[in-house]
Amino acid sequence: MSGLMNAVLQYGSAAAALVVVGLGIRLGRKWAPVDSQMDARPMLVGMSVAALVLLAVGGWLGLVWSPQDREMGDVYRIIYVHVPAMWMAMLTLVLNFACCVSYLLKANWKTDALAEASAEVGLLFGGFGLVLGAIWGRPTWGVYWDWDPRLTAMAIMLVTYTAYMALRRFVEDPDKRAVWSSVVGIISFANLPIVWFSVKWWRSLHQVQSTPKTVDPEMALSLRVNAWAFLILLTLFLLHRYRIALATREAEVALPDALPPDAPASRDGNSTEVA
Amino acid sequence: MTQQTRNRVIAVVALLVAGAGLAFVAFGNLGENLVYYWRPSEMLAQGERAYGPTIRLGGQVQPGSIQWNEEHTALHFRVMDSEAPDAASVLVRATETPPQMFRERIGVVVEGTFDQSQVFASNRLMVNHSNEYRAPKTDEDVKKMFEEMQKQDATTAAVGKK
Amino acid sequence: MSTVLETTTLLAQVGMGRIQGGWEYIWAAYGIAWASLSLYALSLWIRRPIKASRDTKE
Repeated sequence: MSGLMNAVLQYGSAAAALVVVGLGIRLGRKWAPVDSQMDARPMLVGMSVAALVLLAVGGWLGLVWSPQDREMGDVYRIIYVHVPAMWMAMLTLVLNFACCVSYLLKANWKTDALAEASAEVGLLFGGFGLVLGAIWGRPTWGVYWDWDPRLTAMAIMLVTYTAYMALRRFVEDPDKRAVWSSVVGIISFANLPIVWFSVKWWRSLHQVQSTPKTVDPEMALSLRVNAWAFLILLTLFLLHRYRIALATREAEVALPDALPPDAPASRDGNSTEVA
Repeated sequence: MTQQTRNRVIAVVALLVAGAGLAFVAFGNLGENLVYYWRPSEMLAQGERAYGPTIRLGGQVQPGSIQWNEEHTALHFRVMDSEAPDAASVLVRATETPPQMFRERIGVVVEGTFDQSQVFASNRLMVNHSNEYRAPKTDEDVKKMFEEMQKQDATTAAVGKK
Repeated sequence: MSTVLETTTLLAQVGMGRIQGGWEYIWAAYGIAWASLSLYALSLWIRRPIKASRDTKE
């Protein structure tokens, strides 16, 4: 592939992803709130198409176009889904931490809703990312799993964020739920730097982070395109999940007289908690 | 105390707890208590205390030390601390087919037991890979690989005769 | 060409340090990734908030 094509892929994917993130933030403000009258369909369709196209291009680059690795042969191609998934998990959980702190400093249902969305989406990416790592481990290390520091810390992280989601589900009072889950979120977050640095601080089976210097340019390009594709998906997932969380929150916390008279009954579920 | 103030106090306390936990793990010398594997020199320095319990040993495969008997799936090799000529090394006996990436100089972690015979009996053999991802270099690399293969062929043939 | 063939068979031996094949792992990994992402997208669609009747659209 020509140098021009590489540049188009590299900058095009980055630009597409950043535009989608920008649109995602805008839609999060304008379209996600329950009372929004915005018709977001054209933008949402565009963002979804961008996600699918970039994911397809990334899949082709990773599975077909990229050269083999001199030691791992083809098996290393799992990197193009495992690493982006883990990056997205980290990114989303950082967002969750920011929301947890922010909620305690200044209570706001939007922050609480975003915290809920980011924890769930982070758990999704971290969860399947860990499974992909295990699959990669079998042919490479010889084992699916071993209790090395990186793998152990990551497993603990999934457990704590599962606990966070469980707590959110079981506490019915929205105020208490928001405060308590923020505390759990903040404390769970202490593990994230441990996961990241575990490979540098301790001996482990997992190798340390790669840098552009340790990865051949074609492979780095494929990895970047896939990471941007995942970022677009992440933005869409967060946006939709945030909208769901906002709607649930509104149904829970809004006082009946704060809403138009016909609204509360038509919202699903939690009518007992409205008062 | 208003709810807002209470929440802020909770935030500060939670951040302190999280920070303290992180600092404890990062700077608390946990590494010395929770070593994932011992290097050969460290295990040998333990003397008799290393005999018996299931432990992990990690290092590099010493060049020229691999002996593979396919009929009996018996693998012997030495794990060394480093490439330095006087580096400590330990003979490992494994009874499984190693992962395909297994080769001379590669990083390995073996789990098993060590005893007076000074042979580490491994029942779990794991291979590290580095953080490098490289395409096989076309001409020069293939030539080098081929030369190494011929060398390897000679050594395996020699082992077979034994 | 014969060199390539020879290389492949020799490389399969213990001690050569190169993984041969393994596409079943790759497909399993990509399959799980795509399936997880699709199922999550589906779950978001199922959970989408139904707009109140005062909303003229929809």
